[in-house]
Amino acid sequence: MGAAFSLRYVLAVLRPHGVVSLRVQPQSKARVSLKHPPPSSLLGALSYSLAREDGREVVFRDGHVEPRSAEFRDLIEHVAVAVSGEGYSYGSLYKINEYYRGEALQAVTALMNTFLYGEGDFAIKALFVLSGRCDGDCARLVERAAWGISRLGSRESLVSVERVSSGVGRVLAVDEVETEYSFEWREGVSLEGSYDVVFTADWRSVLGNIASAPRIRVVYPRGRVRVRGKGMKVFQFDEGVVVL
Amino acid sequence: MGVLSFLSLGVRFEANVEALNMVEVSGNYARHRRVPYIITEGGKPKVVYVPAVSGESLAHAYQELLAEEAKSLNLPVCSYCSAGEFLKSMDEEHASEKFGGKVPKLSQRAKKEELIRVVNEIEAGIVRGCVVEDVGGFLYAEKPPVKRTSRFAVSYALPIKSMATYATLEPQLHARHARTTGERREGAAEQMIYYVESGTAIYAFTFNLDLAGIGVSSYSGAQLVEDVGKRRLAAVRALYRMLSSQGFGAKLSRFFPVGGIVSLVATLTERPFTVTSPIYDDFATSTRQRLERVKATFGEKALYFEMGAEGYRTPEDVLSAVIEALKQEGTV
Repeated sequence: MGAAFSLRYVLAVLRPHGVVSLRVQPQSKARVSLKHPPPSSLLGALSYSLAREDGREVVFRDGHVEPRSAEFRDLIEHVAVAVSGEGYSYGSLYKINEYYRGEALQAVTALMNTFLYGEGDFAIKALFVLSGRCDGDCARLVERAAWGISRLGSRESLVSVERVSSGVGRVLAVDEVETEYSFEWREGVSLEGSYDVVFTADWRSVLGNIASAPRIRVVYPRGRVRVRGKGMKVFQFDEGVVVL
Repeated sequence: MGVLSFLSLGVRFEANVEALNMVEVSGNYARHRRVPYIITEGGKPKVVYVPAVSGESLAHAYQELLAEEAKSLNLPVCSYCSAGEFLKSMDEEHASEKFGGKVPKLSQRAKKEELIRVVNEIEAGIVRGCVVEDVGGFLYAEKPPVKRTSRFAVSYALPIKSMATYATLEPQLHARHARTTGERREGAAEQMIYYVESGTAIYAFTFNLDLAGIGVSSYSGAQLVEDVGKRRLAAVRALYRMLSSQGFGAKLSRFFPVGGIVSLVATLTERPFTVTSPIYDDFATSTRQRLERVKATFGEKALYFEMGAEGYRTPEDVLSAVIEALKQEGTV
């Protein structure tokens, strides 16, 4: 085990309101919905609450417009998620009729959503590891913002925050760990257990045009997975451990 | 202390024999929207389908009522939103009426300062010209693109979890008759049968309204209009009318749902806070406990309203109390 240093964290436990509608980018005609919340969406969900403090949703950077999360990204060292329960993707077929300037048109389309809806309990744990520049006041602001997370993705994807915990965790170097949280897959790491791997936008990159943002491979454990790799950096906190 | 400006509502309503949201029409058969509900049978997960009403359907009804309320308060609403066509200012053609036909544009070699000025001008013009687009947001997909996030959010209306598997979908047979007197059309059958699927369930949905964002620029955070209070009042009154009149969903002329609101919880907070979804049976208790936690931890003002508690007997009692609280606060 290597030398450790400390970072603050905020953990929000979200309860879905049935639908989590997060679109795969870039969109095709199929308009597929992601089964797992990507880190960029979690950052966006937190940013809505943070941005409301002054009402500005966007920032202007290098001649283009970026979502406000570009600014708040500097407060966050790492984002991870653990989802209890399996989402189910489904989309109804729509027949769209249009009568425009004397001409009748008809089209068939579909719009997928991911449903976290069933007799079991579904929960989304969103973990924000705060960067070293985020002091006590900043951490408190993030904690309140976490309580204010109200949706993941579209305006139909409402969530309520059932619990928020915060504290200090340790960054360690280890060779093996078991985790329920998502993490970025890197070369030289072996996995044991059931999981999905998803290519998704790198949340650390410019998100003004998410379709052209660089991609990372994110592992989403189904339950827990065992991860092995020499000198892996992990974040250990009161309620679990995350591969950084 | 801040100002109470974030409203969250959890609604449960009973709807017997309704056709509020139809999709997948095939020939003479109109299917009700359905969503997957995961159950466990014999130790294995299994999907059953239950009726649902999309958030878009609820949002459409809300925006129609918002247009009416805004006009009754002499607030501006564009011609498209007035007609219930919520295309919003999606392109130059649909935005032009807010700018007297001349939407601001970028020059060939626009610099950052010009980009900032033009996107601000476009958003401000649209917000000033239409309350529905101020509250409901828009995406102007031209150069430069201008996006305004909706100030309200609404979930799907889904059957409550404890009774979801009892929710039903049944096709109802109807017949349309051809004329039997006067001129007969060649080949016209005397009867044409058709089916409409009707659903029955106790549905639940969540509705959030961020009053602080109304009339405020997404780009600068600056107030764009003088009549912010009136706009906020229109937004809350539209929600009141939507719930009080059960004025949402399709086919109300012949399939008006039998039933009504059975539970309603509302919260007013300084910063965003969403009620626990009413699809869960513990939603009222959970919401109250969470709200107390937020108040204690952050020292914020927050109000909780529950139908059936503290003299609030009807949905109208709750919604009137919400509006009164917002008036006392100076929010509307």
